[in-house]
Amino acid sequence: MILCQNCLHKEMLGAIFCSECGVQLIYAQGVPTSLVRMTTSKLRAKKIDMKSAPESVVNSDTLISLSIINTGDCLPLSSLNEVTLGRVSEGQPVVPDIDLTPYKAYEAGVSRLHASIRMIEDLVTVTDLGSANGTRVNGMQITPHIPCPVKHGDIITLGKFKIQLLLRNR
Amino acid sequence: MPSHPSYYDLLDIPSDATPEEIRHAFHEAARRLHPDVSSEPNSNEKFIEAQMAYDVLSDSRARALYDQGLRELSDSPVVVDITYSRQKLAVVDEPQLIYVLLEYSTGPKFVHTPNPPLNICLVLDRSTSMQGTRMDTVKVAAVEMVRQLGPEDRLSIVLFSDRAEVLLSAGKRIDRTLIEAQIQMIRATGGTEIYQGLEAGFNEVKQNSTRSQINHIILITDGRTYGDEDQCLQLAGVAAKQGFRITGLGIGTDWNDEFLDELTCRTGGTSFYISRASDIRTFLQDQFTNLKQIFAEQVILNLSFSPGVKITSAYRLRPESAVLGSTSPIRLGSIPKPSKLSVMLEILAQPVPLMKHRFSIASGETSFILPSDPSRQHSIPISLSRSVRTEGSTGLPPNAIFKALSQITLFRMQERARQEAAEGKIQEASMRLQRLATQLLSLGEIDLAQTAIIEAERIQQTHMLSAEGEKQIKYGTRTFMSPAGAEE
Repeated sequence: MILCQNCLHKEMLGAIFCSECGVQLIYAQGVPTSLVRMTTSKLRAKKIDMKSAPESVVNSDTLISLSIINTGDCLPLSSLNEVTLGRVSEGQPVVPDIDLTPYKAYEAGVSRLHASIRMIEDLVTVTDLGSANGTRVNGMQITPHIPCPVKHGDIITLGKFKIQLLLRNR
Repeated sequence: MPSHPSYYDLLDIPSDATPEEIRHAFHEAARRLHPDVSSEPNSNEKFIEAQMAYDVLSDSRARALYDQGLRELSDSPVVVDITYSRQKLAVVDEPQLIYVLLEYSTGPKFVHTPNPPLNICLVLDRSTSMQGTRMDTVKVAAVEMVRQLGPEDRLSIVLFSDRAEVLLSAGKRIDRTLIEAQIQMIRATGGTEIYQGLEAGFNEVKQNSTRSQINHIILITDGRTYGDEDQCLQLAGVAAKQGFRITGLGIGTDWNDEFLDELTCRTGGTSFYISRASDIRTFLQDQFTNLKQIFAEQVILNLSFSPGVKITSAYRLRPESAVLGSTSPIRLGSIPKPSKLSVMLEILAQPVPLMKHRFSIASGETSFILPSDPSRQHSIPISLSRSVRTEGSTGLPPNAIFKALSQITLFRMQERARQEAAEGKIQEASMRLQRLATQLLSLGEIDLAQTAIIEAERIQQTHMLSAEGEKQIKYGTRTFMSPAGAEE
């Protein structure tokens, strides 16, 4: 029995690729190999970056999605102009548009109303809504309540919760 | 086979024997044939022969040269190269997999045989949905095909909607201008009933079929057929027995790819997908070129397996990548010249019994029709076996197998995602598509990866895959299986 190092799926002896996640299981003759241990989102961002220029045109057709680094989940944003991020808990008067609780947001220090992502004309911005633990863009702390422009592939950190912004033209 | 026994025959070992096996066989032969102990007549000569054989085969360089010479001497019209994913099978008490790559190519003495003439029927969907660019491009492509026909080639054209009409019968001498005018007159109208068209096409091909031709039906459709799928499949079975193959082309997103796969697979043919009408021309052009290169038709692999061994899946890698049936006999398709027919088998073996030195996986034959020599049924023996070892490494997979499998894995992930989506396992399907996207990205297939990501998101929202994305990913990953350009 072979155990896939990527997804822990059990494969039969003699298998060369994992049937669950497609990762190579053994080394082959003369093939330069590297075991890919990245999450889907990291690899996705890395590869798309190589092709589409970071300054690709943002317009009303652009689809915004957020990729949660730790779990690899990807959340497509609806076509709203502004989306708020946070957690939903009991007795909360204002709820965020996107609830990050299922992704262990509480443990990572995400506030109930933490930040918002806004698209104005050709600019996508992220605004910290006065959260307890602050928001960072690519590791730099941003000032609360002041919109900060972001581009494709930027890492937005809410407390310790890392999200990658992905833009794609329709 | 050469008239005198080969060195392998002398030592009574398979041609892919390992060095240990060769040594073992020689020692056995030496003990048996040594002039001091043997009472056999002319044991002296036999002993010398065995020694000669061992001298060559034990030296890897000399053995390679000898193998090449043996190959060139071969009288067989088709030669097969067999590559295994592992040199040895492990003796373990759990089931194991072994991959076998079969590569059929034209025998050295047949390289200059002229390619056989064609007997093709184009079965064209003229239902209302074909109206516009699709019909126009099909017309242009059909006219181009007429112009390329050689003097020996026969072409018939059948149009179908809810009934079939023979536009051009294969029996007639072709007046090109008349045909071209007739093709231009085609108007799209009516529904889609594939059986009608297929039956008319079958009759056209049959009318003129001889075994010295390539008999082929090309079906072009853009819709689903209702209620007559079983009839179509039966007809495909009859066509296959006659030695006809069917190639299917689906345009757009509304046709049933599973049905077309099944239909063409029964004859050893392939189904194709194109999203844009403009690709029809390239498709027909490629088909024509491929058909012109066929050396052997109706290649069938007939194997009987040792107990506890079975094929779990089979794929044709080229000339046209496809999923093959996994129960013997397997219709492999045709062997092109000068290229190859490559087939990958995934074989599951239950625990190997310890006492055997060499484990026979399967034996049987590959039969085929040779249009250049149609008088008899041809076949070559196939025997799959591996030596067995109790410990240590079972060897690394050769590069060719490795490459092919990496692509097949992608296709299978796509298949599983589709199946999961159909069963309503939304999370699993979405997850798998994302993993597929990861693998596609690592291959640099950005467009297809993005399609996979979009579908992964779509399925979470709508609990369904889009017909377009589904087909794009399926046929996209399937094309990778064909190692075009990867070799030679």
